[in-house]
Amino acid sequence: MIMETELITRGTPAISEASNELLLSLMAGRNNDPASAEQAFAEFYNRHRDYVFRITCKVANGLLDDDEKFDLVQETFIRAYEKAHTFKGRAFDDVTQERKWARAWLGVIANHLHIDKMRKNKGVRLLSYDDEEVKREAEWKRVAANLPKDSEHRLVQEALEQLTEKEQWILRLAALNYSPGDKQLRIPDADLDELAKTYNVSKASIRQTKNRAKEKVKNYLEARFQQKGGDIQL
Amino acid sequence: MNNEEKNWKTTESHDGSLDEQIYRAMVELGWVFPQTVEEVEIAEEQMYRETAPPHTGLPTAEDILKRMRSANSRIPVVERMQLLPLLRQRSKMKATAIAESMGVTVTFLSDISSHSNVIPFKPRKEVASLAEAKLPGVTGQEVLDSFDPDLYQPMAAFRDRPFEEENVNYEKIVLRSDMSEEQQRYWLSLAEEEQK
Repeated sequence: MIMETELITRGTPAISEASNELLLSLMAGRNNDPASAEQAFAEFYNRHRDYVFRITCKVANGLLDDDEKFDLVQETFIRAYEKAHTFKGRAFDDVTQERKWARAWLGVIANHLHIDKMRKNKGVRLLSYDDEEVKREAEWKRVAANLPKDSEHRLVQEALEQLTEKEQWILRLAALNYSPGDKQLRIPDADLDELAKTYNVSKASIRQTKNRAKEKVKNYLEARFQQKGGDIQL
Repeated sequence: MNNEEKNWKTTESHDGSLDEQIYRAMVELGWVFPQTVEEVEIAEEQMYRETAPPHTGLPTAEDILKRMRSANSRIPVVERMQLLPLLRQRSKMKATAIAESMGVTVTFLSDISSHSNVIPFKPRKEVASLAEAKLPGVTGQEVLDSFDPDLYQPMAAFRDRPFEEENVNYEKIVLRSDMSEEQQRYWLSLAEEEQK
């Protein structure tokens, strides 16, 4: 990673070595130096484009169509460019952590845009899964089955996979509105309205389905632990 | 107690609710956007193990920059306006008259116009409905769009340095709006409904 003063001294080629924080800082200064801002954007986009796209394909699978996924990726970067001044860098010792921090920030932007996009669609459209994406997920599951992983996370994943499609969608939508640190998975009223319309049921019924889904996850976990002779309290 | 139970208990006491456990599992399943360093780590780890090639159909950085330049030069200024200037221009009314017609205060309108990013969806919808119903020449959709003016904001409007970000939220805006207590309760209730 290099700092701003060094970048100025070494010139343009050094932009490929610039930290994400510096790139965003150059983008934030676009009014004074549009050429550097655009170079910084290009570098930032090339670093994170595939990551954002692959995450978007997974998260939006079945919720947005292919064109909308492409749009979401582009809009995430456009928003990042325009909101670059809001990025708060941290003093990281290594490049990897700094990259993850920038990607977490992109994740917040993409999540907001995704929610907006679904709301503007005037309804939660439940599209069919993209076959290629399903294949990729299936492949991942086969690989993951042989990997040592935190067992509790795997159990929760197993529990989620036992839910009906409707229960999974409702929990997914609640999770999209969840921020780390929140106490509960909640569904905003506007989304409840749309879900109720989609499934042709009342909002209360959607809330009940969400609670039932959580109860199923809890029961599944309890049952799995009891099978192993434990007496865990959830 | 086997290791699995021990792990679970440790995590449960450390991480809190079942909801958080479900959320974390969803991060691993790729059902939500990773929004913390730890979540990005999980997502990246999974990506490295996947064999999917990077997508080749994505636009280049130059394509996106062109799109932004083109959007800046093509979109009429009025479509990029913040809420209050938009209402004034469309209705040809003064801010005080607009506020009076909508049953709110100028302070409130000015605040939600300047801090549109902190306004929850339900109050936005209410402002849009009120504006459409009470003001001439205003549509609800353009009011809703005005809450999100930054996407195609013209370059000329960007400043060298941003204004210092004021620590403001929707509740603060309502409480300092000079509206009656009853009005304040109503506007706050809209945001609360959204949280339920």
